[in-house]
Amino acid sequence: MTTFILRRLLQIPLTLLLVSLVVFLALSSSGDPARLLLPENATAEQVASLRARLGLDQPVMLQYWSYVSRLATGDLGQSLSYRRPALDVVLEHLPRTLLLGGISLLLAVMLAVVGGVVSALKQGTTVDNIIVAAAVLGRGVPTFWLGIMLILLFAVNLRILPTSGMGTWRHLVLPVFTYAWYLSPQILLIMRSGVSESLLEDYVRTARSKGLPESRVIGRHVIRNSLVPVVAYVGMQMGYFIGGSFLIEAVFAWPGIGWLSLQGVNHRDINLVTAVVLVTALAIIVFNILADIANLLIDPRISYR
Amino acid sequence: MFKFRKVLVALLLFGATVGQGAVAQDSLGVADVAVPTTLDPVTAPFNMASVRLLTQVYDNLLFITPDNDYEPWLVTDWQVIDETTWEFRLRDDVTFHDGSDLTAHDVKFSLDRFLDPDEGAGAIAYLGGISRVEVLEEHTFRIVTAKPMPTLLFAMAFNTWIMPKEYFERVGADEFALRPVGSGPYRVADFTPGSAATLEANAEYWAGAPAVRSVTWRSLPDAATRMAALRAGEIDLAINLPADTAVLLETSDDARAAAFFPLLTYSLAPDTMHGGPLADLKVRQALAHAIDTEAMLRDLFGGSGVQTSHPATTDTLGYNPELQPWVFDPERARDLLAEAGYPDGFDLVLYTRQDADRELTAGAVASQWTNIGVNTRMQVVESAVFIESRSAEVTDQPRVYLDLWGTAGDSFFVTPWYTPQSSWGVTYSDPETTSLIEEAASIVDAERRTDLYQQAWQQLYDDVAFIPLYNLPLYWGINEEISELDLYGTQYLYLFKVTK
Repeated sequence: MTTFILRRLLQIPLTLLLVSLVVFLALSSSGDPARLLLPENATAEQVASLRARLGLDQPVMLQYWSYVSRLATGDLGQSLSYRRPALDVVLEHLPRTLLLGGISLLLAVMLAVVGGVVSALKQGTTVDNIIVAAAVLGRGVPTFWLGIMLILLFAVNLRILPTSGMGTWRHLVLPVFTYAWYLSPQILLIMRSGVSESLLEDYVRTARSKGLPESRVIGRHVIRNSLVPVVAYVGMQMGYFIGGSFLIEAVFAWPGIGWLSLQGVNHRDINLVTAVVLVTALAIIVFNILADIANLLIDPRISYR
Repeated sequence: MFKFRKVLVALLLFGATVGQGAVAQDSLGVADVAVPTTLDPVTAPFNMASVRLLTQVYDNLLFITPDNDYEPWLVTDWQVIDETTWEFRLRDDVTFHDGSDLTAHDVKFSLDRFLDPDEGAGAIAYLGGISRVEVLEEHTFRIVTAKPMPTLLFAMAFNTWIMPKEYFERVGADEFALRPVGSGPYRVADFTPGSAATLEANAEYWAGAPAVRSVTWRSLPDAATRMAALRAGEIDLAINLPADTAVLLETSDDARAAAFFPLLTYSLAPDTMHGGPLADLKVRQALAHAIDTEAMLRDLFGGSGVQTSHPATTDTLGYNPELQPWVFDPERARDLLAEAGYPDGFDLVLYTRQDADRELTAGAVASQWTNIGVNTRMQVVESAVFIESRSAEVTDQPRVYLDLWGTAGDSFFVTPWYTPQSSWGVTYSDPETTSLIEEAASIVDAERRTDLYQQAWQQLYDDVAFIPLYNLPLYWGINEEISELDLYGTQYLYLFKVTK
């Protein structure tokens, strides 16, 4: 297990390097920040002067090389729009995304586990049909639309919740609910199929014949086994989840890193967007490793070679 | 994480000031499309959203009126010493938020910072003609320009927020960007870069303390969310609502949609610089005749909006009242194409930016051109890509650009038709028009200047350097309880006279 973790940890710098190259090339080949930062009636000399000042007049690979060498010391460069170290700006906004994402994922998993278990236990009945229908509907509803609809209902018409922004616990309700709605369905369906498969396993029959109460059979054995695919799925889908959080942050004006990267793209703030992507890539890798470790803990039979 | 405590405090402060639900009586909530990432006028992103917030905290040297004229403000009067030298007198009763007096030294300090190429301030595009600023006495200063600069006064009303030299030098640029000090009607109580700000009335403001005690400023980039916040009573002013959203306010008792015409109008700029069919005058005339702007206004925008004859509005200097909108005549268009040697038409690409109204317009234009045989492909691209495509050296197909253009008064020719000053690339170049504009830009006499600009517009019109479309109103959502809010074609916002 330790060798496995060490090996995975070693992959991190290589992956991050690759990611940073892709992002840097994509951003630097699609627009000139100096031209974008100045109004249209700026003269060519003024643009050239700003470009030189920002170090953008050097060949792209040279710019990338100096970027990477600074990266090695933890310096992600200056954010063009904030005029502060890009890493600082990202780290300031990151906790907000983690807060929103963490709570939403927790809610989504809770809903999914409960829904999945109930659905599997009552397979074929009306309850099952309703739950599955809800899950399919959940996958089909566009997140953006759902968010706006919830805002209109609860904030504009009923006025019991705020429309957007961050501040009190009330501000979390709508974004968390919308995000959980986005995350939950697939987890629920995986849980459901995992549980219904496990119920057919020999060990369940054995446990029941041993006289174990049903709640223990389900709670201790079945769910634990069914969690493996769920945890693996959550780990794998981290990128998808984080992408979804960007959408939520746009609708609800939640100032996390998704919202930050939207601003960064609009301003062609290369350093800021790269910093967001690197931090996100790191988060995805870390979560994947954690998911693998969690699975090892849940099911000792699993081993990674 | 070591930053966590800061975030927690920011969260708490934020929660205390915003998001309580309905806005209190003596406070005003504003939601704009963005909030600047710094409050230093030199480093803040150069767009209207930044300008609107900065204008509450700082004073400009002159003041713009709603009909686009300028009045004394920090500067009380001025004298023209010679062609390139102006002398200005400042008010002597202005203090900054930290109590210090505003003097000519602060003016020189501020203008020097704007003009410093290393700072990269967007304002340099408007102030660049200034060579140096000289302090004569505590409240008198001179500006020397490289060439005669009649646009100087207008620039002074636009982009010359005066900063305190002593405070800035003491705390440094980084601190100033977060906790600035200005002389304006509001001081900054709290600021979350890029996200929100809380402003408090400056009781010692020289023009009189503002009626509204505090203003909260929020960034809500999504128009639907902005609208929702207004309808939920969380804010009093929602900047820039799209037309189809603004219409919903008609049924509301609490808020109304205020429409006003910006100085920017929709026009098409055919690229004449890369040869091909668009270099032929008859082809351009054909394209102009093929568009029915009246029908577009009626069918796409519910009849709101006015046809234009050139990218200027009636209250901008140089507007030529003799020019008329193009007549819709598809038959004539086809004849012209045939005369030009394109009886079967040709292919064309129409570029525009991502935006509901632009896309609607582009779609209608594309289909009308395709009707006369010019197969038009629409390219809706992101803003930065649009700018890049404008400056492309080589093009493989004829291009036309759809965008909003105009002049901010006194003819800042922010256009693709004036060669020397467009870093985004020109679509048309004519030495005669260029020299007309340059001559106008260097004369101080307003009448002569107007005459020259009108001639320039006439020539550009006759040569179809542009195809004018229309001016569409902008909509701001305003709480009914608000009064004394002036709406500007320049999209400026002054809150100090507003009452609630």
